Amino acid sequence: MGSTTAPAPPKKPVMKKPNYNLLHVNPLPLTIQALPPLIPHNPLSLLHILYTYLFCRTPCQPSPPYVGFFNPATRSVHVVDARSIQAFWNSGFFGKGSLSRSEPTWISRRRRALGIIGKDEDLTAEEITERRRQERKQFKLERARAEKERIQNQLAQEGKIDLPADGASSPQPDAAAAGESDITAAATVPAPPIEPEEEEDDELVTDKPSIFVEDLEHLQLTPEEAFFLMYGLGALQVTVGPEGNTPVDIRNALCLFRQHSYFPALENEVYLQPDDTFMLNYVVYHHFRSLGWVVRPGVKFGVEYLLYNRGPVFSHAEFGVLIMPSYSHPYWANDNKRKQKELKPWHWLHGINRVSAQVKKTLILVYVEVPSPEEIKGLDVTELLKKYGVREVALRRWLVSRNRD
Amino acid sequence: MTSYTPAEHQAHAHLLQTVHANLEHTALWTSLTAHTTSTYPRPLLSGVPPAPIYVDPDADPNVPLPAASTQREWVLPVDLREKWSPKKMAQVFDSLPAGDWGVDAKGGLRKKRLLLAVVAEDSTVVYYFVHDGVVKPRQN
Repeated sequence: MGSTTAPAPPKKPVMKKPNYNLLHVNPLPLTIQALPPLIPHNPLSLLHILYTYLFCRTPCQPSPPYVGFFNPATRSVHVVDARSIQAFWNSGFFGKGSLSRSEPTWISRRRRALGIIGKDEDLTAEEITERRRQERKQFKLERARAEKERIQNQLAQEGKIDLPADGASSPQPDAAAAGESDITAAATVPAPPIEPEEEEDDELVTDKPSIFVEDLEHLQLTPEEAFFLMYGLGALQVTVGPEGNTPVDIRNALCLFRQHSYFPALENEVYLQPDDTFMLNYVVYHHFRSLGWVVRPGVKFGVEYLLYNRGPVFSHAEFGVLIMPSYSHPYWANDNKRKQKELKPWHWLHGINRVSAQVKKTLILVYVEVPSPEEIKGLDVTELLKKYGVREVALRRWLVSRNRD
Repeated sequence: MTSYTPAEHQAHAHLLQTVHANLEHTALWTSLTAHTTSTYPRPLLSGVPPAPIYVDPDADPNVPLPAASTQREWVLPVDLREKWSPKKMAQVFDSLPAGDWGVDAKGGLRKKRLLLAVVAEDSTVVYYFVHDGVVKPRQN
């Protein structure tokens, strides 16, 4: 490199991340009371534990319970109350902002668009991704241009075409080297400059408009998430009805969610099947939640669920879950339609596996044993769920030439 | 023509609302119009995206893209659990107006295309391109 160095690429503003470890300290929206420590050589510590256990226990469920209402139009549970939204997102990553990628942050983006908050203030995950994509796009455009120029040069060198004689792009002897240097040049091309607006922005700070922006967003819980929060944790009260104020108990909620898992929704509960989508999904959802995973819907990757170790803000999902109903109960032996459902074509599996591998996720096939209708008739929720069985098979493509991992 | 039950018609209207909100408030599309007349087999949406959503693989990267306002895109809201067939898709394509599809980078008539907006229960909307015929795949 000569004495004249190219100007350094503009320094990116350092973005302050919230302390996620502190923010998401509770894995579930419950309060857990720690008992005093047991000290073996101090018998009084046992009394202390007993005293706390017997007389000082507070219920771990929130009081009053968090609230949400069932909306038949979206077939999901909407949470609009700020306290509930915060609890569900921060503790366990339940639900999704209806106008956001995951955490409900639409209002921040809207405020920024209206100039109420600064351009780097309170950045949302969507905006960070968008900025990264812009940079990438710019790089690709640059690369495509360089590639085209290289071909032109090569053709000119071979005397097949005449380059416009402006001297700007002198033919280079080594095409490969030329391509390389072009790419490195492209890599240092600054991202679409947001800098020129900086000054204006600073001016704006003084006279930011103070407009009231209505938050159009709600936290949307899938029926499975809502049922887990209701039945599994007892932390949620779901309401129904045109005004959304009639509380519904666990048994009726199960019925409602099962009916709405059909498209279009079933009118009558007598048509419910032991293998309806809600039952299969819920059994799997409950299974993985009980094992401590953060389970989130995975429609973007063509799978039913994604499993996160601690949560989406900490790491990417490690696993994709595919739900496979399994009809091994003798009752289903002559049900050809259902037996057909067990048979999936290889290209389907191959496609999903390739997509999962592309995003570095391992695919897990979860087989759910479906009980017969007689077996589950009239059972209450816990007994009903006990009739379902779950088996997992992890799947990964193996390459002979790359087997050292 | 495929006929839908009243319950399905109702569900289609809800899907339309969800996708409309998604396009308007998160993707920032403008001039969104709902097409719910009986000329269409089921409700469709059309609107103008803030930036062109599809770049022809043969297009010259140095030539600026056409103004966004000329690119009206069609959207078909569907539920994740619906079953689709080529026949049903063909009916939707047949119902789209023949006129304003423009030309591709090589000067040929552009194939009709729409965005299949698949709505999931967690309010995720996944969009897929559907073309009325074979087109050259885009390079990523």
